[in-house]
Amino acid sequence: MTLCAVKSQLASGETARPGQAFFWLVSLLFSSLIWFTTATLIGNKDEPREKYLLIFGVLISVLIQEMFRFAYYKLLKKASEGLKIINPYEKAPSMRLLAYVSGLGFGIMSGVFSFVNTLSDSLGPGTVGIHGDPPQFFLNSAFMTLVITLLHVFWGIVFFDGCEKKKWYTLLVVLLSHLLVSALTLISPHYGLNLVLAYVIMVLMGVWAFFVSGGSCRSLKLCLLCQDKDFLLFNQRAR
Amino acid sequence: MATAGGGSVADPGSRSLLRLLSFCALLAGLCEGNSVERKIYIPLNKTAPCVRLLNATHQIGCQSSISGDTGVIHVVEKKEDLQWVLTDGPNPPYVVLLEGTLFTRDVMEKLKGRSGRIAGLAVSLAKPSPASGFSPSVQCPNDGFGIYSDSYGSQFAHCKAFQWNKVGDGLAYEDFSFPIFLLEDENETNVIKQLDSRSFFWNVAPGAESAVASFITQLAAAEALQKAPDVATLPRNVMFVFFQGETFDYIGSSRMVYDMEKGSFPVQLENIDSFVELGQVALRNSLELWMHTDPMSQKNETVLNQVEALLSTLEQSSAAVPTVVLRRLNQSQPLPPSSLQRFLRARNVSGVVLADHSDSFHNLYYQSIYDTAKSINVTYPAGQSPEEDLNFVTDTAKALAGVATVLARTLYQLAGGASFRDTIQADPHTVTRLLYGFLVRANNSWFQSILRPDLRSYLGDGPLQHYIAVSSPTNATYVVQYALANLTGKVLDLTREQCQNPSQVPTENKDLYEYTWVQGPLNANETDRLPRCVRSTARLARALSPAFELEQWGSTEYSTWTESRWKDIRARIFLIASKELEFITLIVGFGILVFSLIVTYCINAKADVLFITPREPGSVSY
Repeated sequence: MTLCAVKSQLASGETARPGQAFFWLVSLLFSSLIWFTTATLIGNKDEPREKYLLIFGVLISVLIQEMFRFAYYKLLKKASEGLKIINPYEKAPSMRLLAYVSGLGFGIMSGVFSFVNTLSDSLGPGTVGIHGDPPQFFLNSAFMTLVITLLHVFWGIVFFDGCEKKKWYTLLVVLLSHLLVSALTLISPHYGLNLVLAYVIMVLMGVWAFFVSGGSCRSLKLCLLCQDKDFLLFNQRAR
Repeated sequence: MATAGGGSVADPGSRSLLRLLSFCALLAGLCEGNSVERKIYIPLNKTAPCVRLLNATHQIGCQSSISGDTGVIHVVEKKEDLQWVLTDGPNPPYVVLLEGTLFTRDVMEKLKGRSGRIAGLAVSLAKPSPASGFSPSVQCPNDGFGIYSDSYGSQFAHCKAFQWNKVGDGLAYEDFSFPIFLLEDENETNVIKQLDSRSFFWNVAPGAESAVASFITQLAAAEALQKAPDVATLPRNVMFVFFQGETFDYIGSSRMVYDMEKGSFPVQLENIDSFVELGQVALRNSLELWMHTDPMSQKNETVLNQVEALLSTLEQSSAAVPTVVLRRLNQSQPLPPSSLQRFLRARNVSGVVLADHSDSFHNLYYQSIYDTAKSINVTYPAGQSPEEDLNFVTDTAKALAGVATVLARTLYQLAGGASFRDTIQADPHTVTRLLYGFLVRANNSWFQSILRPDLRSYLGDGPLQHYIAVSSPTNATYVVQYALANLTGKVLDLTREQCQNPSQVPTENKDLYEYTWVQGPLNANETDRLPRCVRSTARLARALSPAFELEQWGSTEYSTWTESRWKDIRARIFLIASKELEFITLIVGFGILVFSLIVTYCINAKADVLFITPREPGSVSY
């Protein structure tokens, strides 16, 4: 029974994943439209203006991504309420699972977009370095993509949980940490610093998401020490 | 470039979404303006490649692999550095960056021999030009397509008497299996020779001494002759011809002779009274200009007399020109490579070739990249504006004007004129403007004023190139045609519509003349141009080798030169990753993949334990 329930939750979750990925694409489209119109309105192409324009573009993009995440949450909420009305006996998909897959969809799409360009250039005969850039450019990009993907997963979980429990400060924290990580990428030459800070934020977010999803220090300890069988006996699920 | 865009393909909706995502990912990968690409590659912009040329019997030039060649750059500044490339270096193949002074035959032979280790070659222009000369052309140019062969004048065939181009090493006619590029640090290219020239590298053909000086002199002579008052009433006509493609086994002149023999040219061979050709004339020693004639045709008494008359006319004309001293040559010397040879093949015309050399060329850079303005002493004082340079009369211009005067007076006399011979004078200003335009900077006010408006973009900021190319006419051809039209034609008071449709105007004759609407000079405020209609008799005739018309692909009679086809020829520099970094990247990636699979499996298996869902009260059973 438990297994079937999990399976149905997984199935609906996996349709959520491409859905969220699509939402991420649309958010990117909107933010690039805004950036483009701003760029054409400003007109001339001198160096500091370009830089400010880029920073502005990144900020707007982050804002719009988070807005779309919220919009997707609302959509999922409406959908699951609708499902409940139609079929009250079917177990609704857990919001936590939906949060996880939506975050994963977001993360995968974001990762793909940021990395595929670099990846296609890495297929050529040359590597980065002739202008003095560090030769570990591709490794750094790969790690950065990984951290962004994982961050999106954790942000998704935390965000949806915050929306469910009406803890609005959670949304603010997610937004601010997203802004921070994006701002870090703009100070590009210091790859090491970027990566370390981003990973630190990811670990923090990961811990928060773990606790939000129902984990606890106790369950973790039990899991790691392989005492879980006893634990299951203590925690029979209600049928 | 497929990437993971979502996990399961449980239902069609998500499947199409996935397709959309993959497509977008692909598009993102194909985006141009790629800053990562700019971090990796440095494109070499100012390069000229060496291309593949073929004729009936041989292929020459260079060729790369179908998707290009990559090699480790190795700079060769002295001969000893070659050893690394040829034998010692541990990471073949190499791309050799060769100093211009080392671009000689023996170095190239060595590289050719070990072409397995050579991926390509980049040659830098030697500054200053090598003092001992450099000519990749052969020592006996156009051998086998002139008049002297084993059956006719065999003592002159194959340059048995002496080599015309002593410095020639024949590099340009070798076959290389790796690509070769010229790195031009500055925009110094000179192209000249008859109308056309070549160098080892495609579309780099300065040819200052080889062609440009000669046809400029001829243009100046045409202008001078045109100014004679009774020129329109002279008993004989003077036809000025500029042959294109002579470098490649006399394409232009062989075509004209063929047309004349077939009857499709307005003038027949038997109507040619005499033939005066200008060879290389810019490097005269102590004012001497040599008159070359063909010994074989003069075995005929009539021809001998005609040539004698021609030579004495020349000498009379130069008597009053102090800057030119004409000299005869004895009978045992062959004609230098010249268009006259093709005419003599068909018929014994009386002809003479005027040149600055008595035996071998004085030109140390015949058909090479170094045959530039500097090699004929066309230099300008520093600090002048381009317009001032345009009108500055150099010594070379004065010297060439002297030769042009002699030529014009001779032609006047040969055409039957007498009275005004000594008033005919070539204008050094014309000569210097032509020299500046062809050898230094084509985009100047005078060239702009003589061209049609739609040809404006043909004038670049550097000198014109004189490589014949397959697409015709080339820029240089147009400029010569319009220069001739301007110097010998007449400005008419017609409107643009009338100029483009002269048959509407009763006094004008479209069949006799060529009418062109040219840009004209700038007006007083220098804002607009004053276009005008120019009527001239300057026409273009196609210089396509008769071999192609007759479909004699293996012809040894006519030129069969062709260019191989290519798409984009470019070069770029980049770094390649060290093997250690590549290995580390692979291992790290693989490790993270395996690790993440294990972690995901473990978390998934223990999910019930790790993540406690909030339960309804009353269900605890402890």
